[in-house]
Amino acid sequence: MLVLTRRVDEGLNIGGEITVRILAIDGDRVKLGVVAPRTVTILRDELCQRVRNENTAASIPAAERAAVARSLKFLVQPAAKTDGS
Amino acid sequence: MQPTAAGIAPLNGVEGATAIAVHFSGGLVGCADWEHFDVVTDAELSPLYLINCQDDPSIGFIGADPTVFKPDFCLELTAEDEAQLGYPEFGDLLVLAIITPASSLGSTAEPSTSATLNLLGPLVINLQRGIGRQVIQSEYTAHYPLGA
Repeated sequence: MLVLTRRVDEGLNIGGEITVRILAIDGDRVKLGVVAPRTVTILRDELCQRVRNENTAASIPAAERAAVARSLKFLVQPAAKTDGS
Repeated sequence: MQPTAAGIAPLNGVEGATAIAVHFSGGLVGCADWEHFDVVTDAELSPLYLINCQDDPSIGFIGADPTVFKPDFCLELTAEDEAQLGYPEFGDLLVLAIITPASSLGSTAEPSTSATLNLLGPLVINLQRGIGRQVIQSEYTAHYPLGA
């Protein structure tokens, strides 16, 4: 990992087209401004982590996949909904 | 059964098995090695889909159209998403949210009671082109509860 120290109003450029600027610092919160082409997707990293973790958690072994799907089918029918009788 | 992406079209009225090979360029989010999937359904499974990874056969998911469970689910695609998906027509899109079973590794007798739907990272597939992308929908949860 590249580690740089920057001050407020300073920034850095990535690959020529992406600029990240430090706009403000307040305690442990840093406000960043990002300038990038419209085709670049910018996401909070924790969202990517969450999706990655969920992808891993959701995988079902091949031998069980179809059986698990069949066991889940009752969820699709609204009539099968139970309110904990 | 058709070799082309268009073969998935009759899915709503399902008769017999339907499968489509989908390429996720760059893989799924955080899972770059999982690029090639077969998306499969049939009369018995519908409206659920099996999403089988071809790069690592031990990896695979169960998916469903999110609007089956959350009718007001609204997908938002960025300019990059649309470009990656080959600027698909709306009718060519298949949206699948991945279902997380209650306890993926456990052997509990009631695996479905607290299964959840990942609305945060649905898979969007251009059926005409056989290309897909996992898109992040930051206003939705990764654990939308299914069932009661």
